[in-house]
Amino acid sequence: MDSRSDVAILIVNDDPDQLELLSLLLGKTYRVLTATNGFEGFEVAKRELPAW
Amino acid sequence: MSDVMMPGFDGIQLCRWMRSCAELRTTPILLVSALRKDAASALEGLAAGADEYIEVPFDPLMLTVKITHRIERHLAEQSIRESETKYRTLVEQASDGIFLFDKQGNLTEVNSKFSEMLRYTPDELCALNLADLMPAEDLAATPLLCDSLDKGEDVISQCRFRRQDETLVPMEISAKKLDDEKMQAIVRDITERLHAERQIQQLNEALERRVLERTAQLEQANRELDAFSYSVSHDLRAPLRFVSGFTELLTKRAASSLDETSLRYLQVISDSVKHAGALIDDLLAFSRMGRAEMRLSFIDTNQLIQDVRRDVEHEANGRELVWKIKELPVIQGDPSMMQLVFRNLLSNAVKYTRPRETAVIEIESIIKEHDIVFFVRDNGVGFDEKYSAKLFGVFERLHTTEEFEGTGIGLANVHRIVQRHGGPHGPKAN
Repeated sequence: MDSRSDVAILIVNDDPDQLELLSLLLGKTYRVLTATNGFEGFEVAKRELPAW
Repeated sequence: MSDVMMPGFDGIQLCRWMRSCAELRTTPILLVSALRKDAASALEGLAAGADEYIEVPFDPLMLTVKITHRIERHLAEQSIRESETKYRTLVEQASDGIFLFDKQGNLTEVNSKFSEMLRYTPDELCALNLADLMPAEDLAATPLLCDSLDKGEDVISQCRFRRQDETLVPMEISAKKLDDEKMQAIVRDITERLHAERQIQQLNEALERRVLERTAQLEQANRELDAFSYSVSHDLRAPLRFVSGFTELLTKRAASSLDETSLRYLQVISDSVKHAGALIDDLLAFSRMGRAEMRLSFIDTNQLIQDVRRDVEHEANGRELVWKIKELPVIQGDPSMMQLVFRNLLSNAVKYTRPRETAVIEIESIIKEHDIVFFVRDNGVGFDEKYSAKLFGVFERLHTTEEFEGTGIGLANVHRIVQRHGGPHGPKAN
């Protein structure tokens, strides 16, 4: 897969291992942001992911 | 992409919060669950505003592939939606009618301009066939449902469409095959254009008629004038011959008994009669020139000028003449008429350079569009450009007979001959 660094993906997961693994895998292609719970996810989304 | 099950603030709640926040209302949300394998949580997630809900056993590679696939599909769909919107807007805004139809001629899509043109609603139009919208003969004459369009060739044609109120509207149509099933057509109302074209054509026809009428009138007037001048000259000749004959007899008979003044009077009478005779002869020749049939052949004007030059050189009475003659073309014309033209022009050049010790006469020719233009220039007395139009009229002279002899018919003859050869003629003062 070509790099799509113009596309950001926010991964919200409470399991740090899963989070790290997923961001490693998806980070090859996309700009990855992480959050460990819903509230933090919301804050990051608000800051980084206004509508496409 | 969010996990569904998280302590406290879970994925479902995240969806609700994001959807209630203006900036995040359309951000795509993917809920992933490895734990709650029941339909209820999927429904709950989607109701909360998630775009998708996927359930997978936690296998990072599998999950990555699935997510990547979803993201790419989402991006592709988004770009399709954008370009669809763009084209839809374009089609709707177009000032031309646009419609799609299938191989059987059934309309499948129309833009609002097209429905406006034909006074149907778009839905009504999509239930119709081209055969319903075009007079049969126009449909047959317009290759919309034939092989050439099917082969992918563009079809541009004119035809009439029938509006809902049965009136016909002329259109220019441009059609093209889109794929195996669909054809696309762009139509433009050409009522005004056709109207303007008809008007132009009518005006042109009227103009042409008037030109023909005027030409016929002019030709008639010219014929009458020719007949008039012919009969006048002819009838004048006889009495003049009497005047000249009896003047001669009188001079012979009474010369010894007349004083000097009386003899001078007789000489003036005799000269005037000779001049009048020359006038009449020239006028007769001019009149004949207008009616004589032209016998066209190819003429080498170099040779022609050489011949004419030999003739007119005698008229110089020993003055020095310098000829500057460029290479001249072969032309098509009546040889005796063209001879007369050059004889007149060269003779004039010799005559009107008389005050100069050395006469310089230049002859050259150029090709201007479809015409061959000859120039005969001399260093003679010349004439004022404002009299140039007069110069080619019968009896028009710019000099008195005392200054330069002549009848004033030579250039009128030139003019007439050049005109009969299709030329516009035209002297220039320089």
